[in-house]
Amino acid sequence: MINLRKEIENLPDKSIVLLILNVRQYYEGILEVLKLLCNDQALPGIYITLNKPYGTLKELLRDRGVDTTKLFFIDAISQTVTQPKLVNHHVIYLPNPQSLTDISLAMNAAAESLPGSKKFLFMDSLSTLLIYNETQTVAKFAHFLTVKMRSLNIKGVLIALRQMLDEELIFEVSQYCDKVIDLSSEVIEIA
Amino acid sequence: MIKSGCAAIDRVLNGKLPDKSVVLIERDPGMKDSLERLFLHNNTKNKQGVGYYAYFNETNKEIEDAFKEQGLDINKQLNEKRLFWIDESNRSEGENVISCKIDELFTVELAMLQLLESNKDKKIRGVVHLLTPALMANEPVLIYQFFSYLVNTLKKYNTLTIFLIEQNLHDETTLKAIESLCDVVLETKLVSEDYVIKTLVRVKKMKGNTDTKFHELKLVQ
Repeated sequence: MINLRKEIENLPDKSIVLLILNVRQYYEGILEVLKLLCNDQALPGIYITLNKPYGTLKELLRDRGVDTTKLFFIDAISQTVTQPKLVNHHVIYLPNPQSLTDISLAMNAAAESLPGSKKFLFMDSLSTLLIYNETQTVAKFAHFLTVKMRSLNIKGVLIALRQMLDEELIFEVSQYCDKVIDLSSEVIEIA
Repeated sequence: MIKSGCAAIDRVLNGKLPDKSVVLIERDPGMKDSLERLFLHNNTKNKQGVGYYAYFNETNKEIEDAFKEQGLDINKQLNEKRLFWIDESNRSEGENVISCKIDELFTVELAMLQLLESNKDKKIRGVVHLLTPALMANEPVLIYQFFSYLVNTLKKYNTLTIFLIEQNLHDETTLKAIESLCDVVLETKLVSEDYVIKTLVRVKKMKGNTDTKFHELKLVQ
């Protein structure tokens, strides 16, 4: 049994992790990591969401005990369905998950606006990008994210769902990351 | 203040180029890149200098031939991996090529970041022919944001960068917005005098500059 919290906690600062989960562990996994980064380490962070709209996601995280006050959201999914009603300084809405350049520009703006030298980026998820983009484009974008995070000196967690990834992509993205935590065949131990 | 490494540019700017400058050269469509090639060649002659040329719709072979035709030998720079080609149309081949796509701007940013990071202890000199094709393929607001970020990134490294733009192909608002992000703006144009084609250049924007008249641009190696 892998203790996810310890795995992430023991990583050096500014590490980039590829976290592979299966569908059943998905929320457990991201909540565990976010509690560590947002609550215990009190780091400001950027959450790129391609799955759940900002409003729903923020409510879910808050209800499950994640401190969202220092989280900045880049929401690339809401506008694919409707015009978002919740507009504030903690979120940037993007047209869709295909516009990778928009995501990169929003990430620049978010990274510059967050205070402090220690921060993190949480990418949820590479698997969803695959629905909207070619595998090679996603691999290139993942490479871009890692280079960008290193140039900005920020910690990164890239989430991927095992069921939606092919081995080639995992192999390619793994090369850009400092650590791969594959929990897809494990039971997550919650602290 | 730094020297550009190119006497023709230094003459025009009176040697007043700010450190880590971003220079915008506005020109007519179809003008040759002789000045930019000379700038890259001269700045990569010694081992401390690294150069790159980012271009669209050309191949590195065509560009290398253009250097040769101009009498500029860049074999040493290429062999020693001090001169790179950033191909925005993904058509070039070779060890010095970094490929990207103009319609996926993050790939251009990735190419630039990789080059800057791996040469951060060196003097990096670049020529970027990106703005006109990028403005044709994307919304001006997006390009403004992208360019703004690129300028900020370049200033974190030991760089001097020339951006090229075909001025007659863009509206004045777009051009002014791009100019506002640059330290220096030069305007070049071709004129015909007594059946001889001459290139004229003027400083359109530079802190402390008062001479905005056109002067003839003379290239000497």
